[in-house]
Amino acid sequence: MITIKHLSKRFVNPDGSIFQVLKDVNCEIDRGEVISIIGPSGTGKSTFLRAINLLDPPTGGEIIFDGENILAKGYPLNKLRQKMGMVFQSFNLFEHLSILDNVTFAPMKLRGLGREEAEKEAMALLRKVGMSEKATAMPSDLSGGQKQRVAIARCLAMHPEVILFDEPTSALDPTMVGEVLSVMRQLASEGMTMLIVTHEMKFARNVSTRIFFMNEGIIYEDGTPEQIFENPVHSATKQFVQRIHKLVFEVDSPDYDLLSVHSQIAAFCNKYNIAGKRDAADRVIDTMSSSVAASLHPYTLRFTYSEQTDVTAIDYMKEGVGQSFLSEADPSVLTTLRSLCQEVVEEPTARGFRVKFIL
Amino acid sequence: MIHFTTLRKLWLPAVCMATWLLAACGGGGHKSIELKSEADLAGHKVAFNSGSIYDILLSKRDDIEKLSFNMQTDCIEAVIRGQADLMVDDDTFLPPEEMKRLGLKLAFRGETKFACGFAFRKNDKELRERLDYFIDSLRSTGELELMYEKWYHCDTPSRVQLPDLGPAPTGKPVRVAFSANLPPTSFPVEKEWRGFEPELLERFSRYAGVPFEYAFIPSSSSVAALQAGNVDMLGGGIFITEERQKTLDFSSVHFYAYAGYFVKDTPEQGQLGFWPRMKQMVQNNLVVENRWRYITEGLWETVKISLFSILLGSILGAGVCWMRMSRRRWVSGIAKVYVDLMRGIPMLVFLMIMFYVILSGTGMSATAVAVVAFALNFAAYVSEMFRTAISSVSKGQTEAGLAIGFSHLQTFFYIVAPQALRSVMPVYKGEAISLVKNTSIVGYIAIMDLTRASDMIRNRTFDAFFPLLIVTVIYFLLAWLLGKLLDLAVKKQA
Repeated sequence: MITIKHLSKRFVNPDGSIFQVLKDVNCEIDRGEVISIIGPSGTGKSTFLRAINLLDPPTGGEIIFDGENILAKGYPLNKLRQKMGMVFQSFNLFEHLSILDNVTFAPMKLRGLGREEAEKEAMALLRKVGMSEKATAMPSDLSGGQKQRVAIARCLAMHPEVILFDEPTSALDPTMVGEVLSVMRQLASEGMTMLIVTHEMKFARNVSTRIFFMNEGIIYEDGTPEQIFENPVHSATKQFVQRIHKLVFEVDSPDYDLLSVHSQIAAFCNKYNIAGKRDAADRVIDTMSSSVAASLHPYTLRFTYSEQTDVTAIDYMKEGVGQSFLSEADPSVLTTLRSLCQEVVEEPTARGFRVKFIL
Repeated sequence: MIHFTTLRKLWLPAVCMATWLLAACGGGGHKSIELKSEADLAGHKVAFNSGSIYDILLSKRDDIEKLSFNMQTDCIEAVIRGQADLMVDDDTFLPPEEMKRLGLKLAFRGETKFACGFAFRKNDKELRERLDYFIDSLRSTGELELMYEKWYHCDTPSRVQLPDLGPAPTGKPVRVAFSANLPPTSFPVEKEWRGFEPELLERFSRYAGVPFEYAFIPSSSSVAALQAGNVDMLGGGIFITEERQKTLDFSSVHFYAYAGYFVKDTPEQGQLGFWPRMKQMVQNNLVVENRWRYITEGLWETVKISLFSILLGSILGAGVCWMRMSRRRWVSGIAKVYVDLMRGIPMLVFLMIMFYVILSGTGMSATAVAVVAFALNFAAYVSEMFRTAISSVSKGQTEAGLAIGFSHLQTFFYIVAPQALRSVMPVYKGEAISLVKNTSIVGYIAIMDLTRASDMIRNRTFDAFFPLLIVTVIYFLLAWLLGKLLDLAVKKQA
């Protein structure tokens, strides 16, 4: 359906220097495929997506859509974009139109539908994304997740053959990510061809038929989710999918800033979409600091999350100790702690001892 | 459409105006001054018309405080209200009955005798020589003297009629600007100009076979109008001085005048009650000689200029905005220079430059020139408003429009423009209303707009207050109505 050959894109900075975002992107996309594009930030994922529908025209290469080179002069670009929907990170609903009008506007102007027909179709689409109730509302009345669902309905109203999703959940409050992902999951199951730039590793893994790992301006590795997440070929891919996000606090006195720890953990959970773990984490830390950890200082408190294994953990580490400091704890405290997590691992390290709470 | 609640908003302004009205009816303090000759003027405040001979005459004296006004009415008002101790003008400029009514009296006559004539551009010999011959022949038959007696030595020159001279000749008219519109020299009654000079010129018109056309242009800008070719002759009791002869040519002397120095006198008008006084004002300012027609015609002129300027200016403004946002450096540069230039020139100055210099040879009517000038000015201001409004619509809106399959043009008109329009409306409305009010300066290029209409009435009735009150109310309603109209337009569009 889409064949991309030697696609490149470079920007000229205001100071005259040249920044090569895309170097040589090659790929083949078939009808019905759901492709997630992952990779470190700044490697051109979004630029790649925006180059495909020529919002950021590429500076070199070829894009063949249904057998035609869309970069050729005189190619009907507006017609192409009608067949190639796009969902933005910042939703971009038409602010001056109601929710219903947002969905009917383009079909009426571009597909030549009458108002009645367009509205009938729009209501069906809004029902599909769960937004029919808000048909008469204005975009400013909606939450981010609701806006994004409307944006998807608006996109579908043009009957696109493929939809490009440019980080559709990155601007959302974590509590709203789920509703958008479930709409996307439904679309994927219906056989819509989708290209998704995302940081949602779990979603990419569960929903995609194929993953592009982008790095340094090229598709570094291309494969099924199993290949990319379980057996990556390149070390860069491996490093990316196995990377562990962590927060580290060095605690030197019993009077350390507990509030700051909590707020940093909250932000961390939001960022990696593990808000569900936040409550347990807070309670483990509170319980520890009022019992075992009260006289433990100096020690290191570490909060970690692995996207690949989807494991969240809290580590208490103390140097120069040979045995578990948890054993001195009151039995009731221990019971509380164990009830808060899946597993408590007590293990010696090279320089001391570590207690790991797996949440 | 216009709800009761919006009418209620008019209460406060109405109360303010009523307060002003009561204050204005009060009049200034009274101070009697004994003056016998020009030597006694020292230390006094003297009001006079700017650009008149008295302006020049008094400019040599450092021992008096000078108050220069645009019109005689303003001088009179200044004396009556006590802002000036006395005023100077032609000794015959006020008929005796009028003087009594207003509460002025002639303190003394100046010693110098001034020769009056019509002014022409240099080199405009033919017409001037024919007029000279005509004046001289009238003088030799004694007819000129009779005419002078008829207009200047009667009690109520405003009731004197022009003799029946038969139908006016046809053809290209000679355009005359009177810098005074007062009896007995030259004054308008409804559509007709009467007075000593109009009679003289109408007689000449029949003799020479050319029609004449008259307008009122204050002395402060009449010379510019003559030199720019907007008019062919100046009248209204123009004094012939050596200095003026350097730049202008003059006809033969048709009469002589003396400077008259007027001071405040106890007005004859008794203590009339408020309502009888108001009734008298309405009678005097609106009913007599159908003077309300000045107001309706002036209003029409103001409305015409305002609406066309707003319309043309908005279109131009959109064009300038488009240029300003162009990616081509030189195109946006031109637009920027234009905007900066227009914003840096006072509107009055720009209007006069357009009328007397840039568009003076094009044969465009003064109204058309005013529309062009105001539109150009309006365009500069609104283009910047449009630009800010368009830039305030987020880039994502454009991207969403393009991504769904609209062309650039469609995206702009369907998505960006409606949103920009909404945010620009409050400031745009303010600018449009301020344009309506700014049109009050078009009198400077001899357009009879609403403000000039009040001047005309004021000059005839010497009532500084009532005509101003009327036009104030009309301007206010006009601005209010325009605001409502624009609100309605936006609502309909949404």
